[in-house]
Amino acid sequence: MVRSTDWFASFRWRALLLLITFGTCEACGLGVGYRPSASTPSGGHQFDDDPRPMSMPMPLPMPRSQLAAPALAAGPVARPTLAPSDNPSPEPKTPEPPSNTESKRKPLLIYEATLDLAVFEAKKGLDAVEKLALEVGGYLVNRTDSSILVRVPAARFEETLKKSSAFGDELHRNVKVRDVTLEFTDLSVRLDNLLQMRKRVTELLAQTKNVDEALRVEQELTRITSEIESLKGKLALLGELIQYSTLEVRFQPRPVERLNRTVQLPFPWLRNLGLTNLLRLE
Amino acid sequence: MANAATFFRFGGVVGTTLIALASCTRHFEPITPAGFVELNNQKEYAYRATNPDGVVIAVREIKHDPKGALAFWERAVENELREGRGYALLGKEAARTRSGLVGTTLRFGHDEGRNTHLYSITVFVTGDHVFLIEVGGPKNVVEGKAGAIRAAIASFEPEEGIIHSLFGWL
Repeated sequence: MVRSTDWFASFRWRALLLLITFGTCEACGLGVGYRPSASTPSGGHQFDDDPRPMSMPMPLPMPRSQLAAPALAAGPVARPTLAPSDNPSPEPKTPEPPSNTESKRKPLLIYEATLDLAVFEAKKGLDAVEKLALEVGGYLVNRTDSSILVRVPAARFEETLKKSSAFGDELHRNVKVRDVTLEFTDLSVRLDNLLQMRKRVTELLAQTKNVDEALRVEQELTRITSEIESLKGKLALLGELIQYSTLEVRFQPRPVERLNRTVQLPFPWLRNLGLTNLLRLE
Repeated sequence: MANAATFFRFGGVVGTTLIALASCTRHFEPITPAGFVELNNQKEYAYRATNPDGVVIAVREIKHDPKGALAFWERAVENELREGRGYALLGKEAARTRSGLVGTTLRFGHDEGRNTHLYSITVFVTGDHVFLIEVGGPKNVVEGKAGAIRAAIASFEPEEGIIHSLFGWL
């Protein structure tokens, strides 16, 4: 007859081996993702006595030295709960689209425009564009002797474009609109998932039983955190581009390759017109 | 026979002279405004004059081939300067020669370096030639000379005389 304590110890080892196996699979991308069970107490974590060991992503037995005192007292089957303050990095707020309710109804659009104005009184024109951008609540991004790049609130983009074109002789206008609804939604969903995953991995970290396991979990945590930061950056940039439209005004002749002329008149004297030849008196 | 040979020799000399005259002379009267001096030995221009402050007035005389209406040449010039060079079209108005030939003046603005310049082209089209009167210089100086320049353009007169008509095709 097997004593109940021996049976219990044997079961634990087998469960641990299983966990290691599936944990490795998870690490190489083949494992089954861990999903919190409804029966799991809030903030808690299922231990190796859980009848569903395959749901564990990695073998994360918590080192006894790291267990909270109440958990130690409760024995190996205790389900320690992590206080919110145990979380090593508090969850920063997920970047939101310009307006959540709006984004559900309207597409998220990025507006970009380029205005080519004739090269005449460029400084005056550049000053006027910069002043206009500030007036409508925008800001200056870049300015050279012949061009200016400003960002203006999307709601006032058309108005700014119209007024800017009046600052000179408009030679060409290029307006691009990009629908980023799908991209934004995709990034948001991926970020939410990663945040949840980080929460779970953080909980598992608190339950590791030795340094090797802790290091492995830490590595995973670092990877997830890095991915989260990258996604947040992308979302923040998208949000910025949605909220503020980009307008570039250039006071320079368009490069010949961009003129897109279909006909080049066969009169060479036309190419000799202009101030350069007229004013060259020597 | 001798008379015939003399006639042909004489005719050849006269013809050559007329051809040379027709091809070398300009087909308009000079229009030098007050305060300007005409520059000699011009290659690109049939006429060019300048004032001491850097305002230049010049005339191009182009053989009218292929034939095109005033609107065609006006548009060709406008496209070249606006699209190709980035000149700002400031205005467009009708112009007339002394004898009443109708043309068009295109007024442009352009920055040369950090200085703002004005540049205008007046186009007149005759049967044989397209005349382009170009005026350019620093904005403030050109504006100061606007009256004299306008008077000079109004006094412009293409010459389409008998010799020019005869040899215009050359």
